[in-house]
Amino acid sequence: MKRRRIAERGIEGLLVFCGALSILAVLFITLFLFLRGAPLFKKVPLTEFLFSTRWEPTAADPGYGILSFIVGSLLVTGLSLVFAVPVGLSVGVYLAELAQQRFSRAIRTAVELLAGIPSVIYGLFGIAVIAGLNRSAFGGTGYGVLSASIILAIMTLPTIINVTEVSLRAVPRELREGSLALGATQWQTIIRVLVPSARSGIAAGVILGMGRALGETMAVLMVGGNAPIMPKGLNGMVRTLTMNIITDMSYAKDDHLTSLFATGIVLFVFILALNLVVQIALKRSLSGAEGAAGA
Amino acid sequence: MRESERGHAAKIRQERWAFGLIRALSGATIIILAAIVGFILWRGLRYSNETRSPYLPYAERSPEGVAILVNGGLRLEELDFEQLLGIYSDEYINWAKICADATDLLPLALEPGAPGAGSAEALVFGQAPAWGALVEFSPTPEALLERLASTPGSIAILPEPALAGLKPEARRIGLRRLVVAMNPEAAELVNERSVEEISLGDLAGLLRGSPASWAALGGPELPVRPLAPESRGPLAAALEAAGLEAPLPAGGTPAEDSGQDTCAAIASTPGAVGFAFARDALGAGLPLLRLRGRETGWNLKLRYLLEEPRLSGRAGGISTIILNTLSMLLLTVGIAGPVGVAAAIYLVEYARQGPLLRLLRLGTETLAGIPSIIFGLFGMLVFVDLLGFGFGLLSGCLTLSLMILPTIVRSSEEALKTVSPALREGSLALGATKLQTVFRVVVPAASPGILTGLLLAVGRAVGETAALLFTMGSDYKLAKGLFSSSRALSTHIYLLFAEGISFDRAFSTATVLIAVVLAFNLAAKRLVGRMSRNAAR
Repeated sequence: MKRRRIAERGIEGLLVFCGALSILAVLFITLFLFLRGAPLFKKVPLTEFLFSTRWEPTAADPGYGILSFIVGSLLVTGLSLVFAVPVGLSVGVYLAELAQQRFSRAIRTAVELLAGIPSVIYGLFGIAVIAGLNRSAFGGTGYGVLSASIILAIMTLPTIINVTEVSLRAVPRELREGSLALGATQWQTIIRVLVPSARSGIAAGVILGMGRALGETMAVLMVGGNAPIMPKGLNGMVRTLTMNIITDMSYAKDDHLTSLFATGIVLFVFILALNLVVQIALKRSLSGAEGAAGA
Repeated sequence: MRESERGHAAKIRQERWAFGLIRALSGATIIILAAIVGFILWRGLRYSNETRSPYLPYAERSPEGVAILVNGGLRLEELDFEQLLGIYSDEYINWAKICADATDLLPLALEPGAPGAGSAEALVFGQAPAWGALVEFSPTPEALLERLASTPGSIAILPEPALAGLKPEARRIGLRRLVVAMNPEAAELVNERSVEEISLGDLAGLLRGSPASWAALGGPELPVRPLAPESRGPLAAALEAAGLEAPLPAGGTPAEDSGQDTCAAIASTPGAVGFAFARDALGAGLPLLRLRGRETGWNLKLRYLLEEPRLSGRAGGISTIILNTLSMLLLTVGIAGPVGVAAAIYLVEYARQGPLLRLLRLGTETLAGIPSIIFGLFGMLVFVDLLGFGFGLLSGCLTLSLMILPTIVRSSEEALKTVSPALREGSLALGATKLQTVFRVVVPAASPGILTGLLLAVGRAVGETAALLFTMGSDYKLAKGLFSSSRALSTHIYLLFAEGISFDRAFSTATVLIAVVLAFNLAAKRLVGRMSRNAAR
């Protein structure tokens, strides 16, 4: 009996360890990334790293400025949201409020499969189709901010659609019925009542999609053009933080390699900040829904 | 009152528009999916490439009465003249640059001086034979054919009469040797441009004298003068066999008969253009017009799936890469599966509500949001360097395991939560311990949900590239152990593209990958469907 108790304790210990593994992994990733990347700031001041556009890591007088990549990341991500948010919101509304079962099932399957397509395949599609269309429409090489953000918009759609649908469904029935009973049309109910009360959930979805777009590597690498300069306009070539890491990774040495880990830190800080905002927004949306249901 | 009614009607109309827009956008998601998957499949199964070659797309079966034979194992249908010349003058040592095979190349020929050997020699070298050192000579056609049948990657040229009565165990291939040669003056640079290429469609016009001046094609101000080959000469016969009626007298400018030596005539006539044999045109140093055409065919063949890749994927197939991907998936699920399920069991069955549980959940959420490139950096730092596993299967799988852990934990949690409390309580009431209850009752009841999560996680892992590139390595040979560098399908696609090896091959590999991913996702979906039906029952 006692042996069994000890065995149970042991297994429980194992379960605790597994449960804690995720948070341990996050801690370790943070720790190692900072340990490996932060030494760069002894040689290059943080302000120069963040606010200079001179990226010449292999020059005799190396320059480690990643401002153009930060701007590139934000530009590509922002533009992708401009495309993805209206579409994602509409589809989310359709799935939650309007669709008949048959259509909603087909669309949901499509959205799930879109989410499952690997990024390298999005990249191939981007090169062959999006960049080609872009080239014939606006000239230039076709590789650049616009192509990258269109691909990213398609990739972030599933996230935005799912979270929008879930948060619209979480809006209590009473609100919907109350609005309709007061004589509002279905459209007025959706726009004035449902979407506003689901707004923190929707915001969380958008930010989640933003995080995904910011961290995406392969697809933007293949269609972004990857020139290490400040993007010149919406059709200019662009290099994002992720592209900078993966491009130089294969040959970087010493300080250059350290600077790539430092780039990783910047990306990681962006992502963590976004995650934090998502957590707060989701918590608020849940408690908001509960509060409304209680009232 | 009427005013407001009209306003109301307008509003209703607007709303109808808005709903229509929403419906259209929703339908667009299906269209986007269909476009992407359809495009990849279409490009993966069929290829359609623009070709630029000086040779006319016509292969002669017996050029000048000479047969070109290759060993039956070689996958080759035709050669162009320069390839043939290169083969017999030591320019190639294996087939990789010519066709999809990478076997060593062995050129065979009849000994110079043997009866009939002269015609083969003349076909390749014209007047000045310059056999390469690799060429192996045989005294008789019989000996040559025997050598050909017994040596993979061998090729032979021999006169047709010598073949009479023999049944060679070899395949006869065609030779492309018809080109369009132009007078050097017509190919001169004008404003840093010169006439270089023409589409096959425009060629017929050019040979009829339209456009009338080379300037229309970006060349100098020089009249186009199409020259016809000597009637009843070998060139005219070859053109006739190819179904080409070489420069037709039309539009009032009759093509001039070039006489016996077409190339000499083209070289000496300003603005001249005409068909020629590649051997003669190259020998005379004439510029050749490159012909633009389109070539289509099957891209993804069964052979591609079953053969080993060679020469960085330029030749061969992807069999070892598929096997590497499978072992990667098995190992990854082997690591992440038990850990993830155990984590979910702890979170659902053991952990008490409180700050600790919130922290653990936060960990899972945060891990799920970290981009794959960061996992790649971490994996390279810790597994590859610090723990010394090197670029290999183990480093890659450990990195991937961390990546897919949140997916597994979350879906297993959901599955465990749906198990009805009555089952748990019943088991406990019967005197089972908590552990027995969890592993004998709760987990089995939740297993379809857990399996679904595993399938989804595998679907994510199989498409991952950025995290694998610098942890798992890129060797395309079969992985020999946990520490051997190996290439997955997704990495292969990227490298085929990034190293500029072959876009067509990238697409056929992508077709395989997308089939695998869709299979996993649809399997997971079916499992969910069955589960919810069971639950409803």
